[in-house]
Amino acid sequence: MVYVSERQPGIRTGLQLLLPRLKAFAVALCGGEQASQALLRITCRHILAQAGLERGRTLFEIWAFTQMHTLWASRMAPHARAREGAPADARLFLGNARYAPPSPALLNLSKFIAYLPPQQRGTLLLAYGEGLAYDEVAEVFGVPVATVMTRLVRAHNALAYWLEHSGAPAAPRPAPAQQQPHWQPAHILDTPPGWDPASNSFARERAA
Amino acid sequence: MTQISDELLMAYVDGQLDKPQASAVGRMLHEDSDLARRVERIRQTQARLTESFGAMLRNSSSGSLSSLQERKAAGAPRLLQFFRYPLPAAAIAAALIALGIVGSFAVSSLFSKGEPKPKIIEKIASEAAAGTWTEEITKLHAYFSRDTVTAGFEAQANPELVRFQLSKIARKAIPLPDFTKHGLAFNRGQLLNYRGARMMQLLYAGKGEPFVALYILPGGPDQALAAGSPGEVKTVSWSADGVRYILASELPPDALRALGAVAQSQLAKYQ
Repeated sequence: MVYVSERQPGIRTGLQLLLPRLKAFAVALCGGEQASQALLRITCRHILAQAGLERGRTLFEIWAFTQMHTLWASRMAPHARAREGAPADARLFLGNARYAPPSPALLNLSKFIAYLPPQQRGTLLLAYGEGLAYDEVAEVFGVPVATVMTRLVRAHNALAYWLEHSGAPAAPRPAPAQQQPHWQPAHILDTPPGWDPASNSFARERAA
Repeated sequence: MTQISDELLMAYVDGQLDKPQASAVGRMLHEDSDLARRVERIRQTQARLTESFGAMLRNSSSGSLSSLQERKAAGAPRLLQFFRYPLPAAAIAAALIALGIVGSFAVSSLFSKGEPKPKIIEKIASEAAAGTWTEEITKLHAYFSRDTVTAGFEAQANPELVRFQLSKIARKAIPLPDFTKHGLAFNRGQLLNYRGARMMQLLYAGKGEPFVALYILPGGPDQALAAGSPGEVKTVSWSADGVRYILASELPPDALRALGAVAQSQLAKYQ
């Protein structure tokens, strides 16, 4: 376990090791490649500038995730709200299937994740990807544990409903008595844009 | 176990419940097929989410899963001291008062040893130096009126969820004392910040009597039951097994002491 105040001499090395996980969190929050790269850049600058001032017993990774969320909430979330309703890029949530043929189940799941609100995606990543405890996730987002649990339960219920009805031609409808997600029929994708089933690759990869 | 919410079942599936709660839920699953069906549904969605987000991290790095495994294998306690839980207005006011008492130390340090300190600052500093947890909680409790005792977004009325939150801050299972035989029903539990640590406030209310609050804060040596604070707000406090407790109320001192003994015996049976 390494705490922020102990990381001072090796902050750059620690940050380098954490970069891929921070990138994944940025992708979950921003939902787009360019925005997540921008968030990662400003977070790294902030961490390098602020880590020297931190004293206390906060785990470095928790602190880094918290900084990223705070920066996203203050600088990027207001702009994201202007585009409310537009889903994230589902390709970003395909995991290692980006370089291998994605299974229909993973494709389906990536579409579901793309339609989730950013805070819910981020919560799911920290809870089920990073394996953080509920109170750690709550600290990153600055919310009560109950809020984290509510977000997770809503995601579970929505996913159960999605899985039950996946493959239906109509737009996915939210589970009953759940918060209305911002789904629009025009944004439903049968396959990710640019994906060619015949060659099992994206158009940009073929061009390269 | 009163009601099993989806949140509690999810915490059970995610392995976030303490052992006694998890065992109780496990027993209920054998007896209730509807509960078992709900848990199975959560397990299926949890597996999908873990697979998807785990794959997302694996794609980013080969190191992320190993850090997760290291964390679980180490099982080391997590020392988290930067909390940002929103507080209701009354608690914010009381916390500011408490901070003001603590902050007076900073004010007095502005004066060098050679300069005479203003008398008001000396007075505040000496009051702060004498301040104990009991005294500060008494002041805090005085800010809660009956009309603030309602369940809200940040305050949980579900006793099982409150127990879950309490187990997180105390790092062990602690039951919620039951005062129903004394005419007081559990109303809500709320997490508060106290000097950088998390403290649980459990509220019990009767039909017309003053409400009772039990404040629970980890830490401190064992201490026997002791009454405190002459004034409108009465307290009884004790510490056991690394956890401090204060019962605060405007009830008569004898009634409060009796409740304290009841709580003490219920908590002792659980340890």
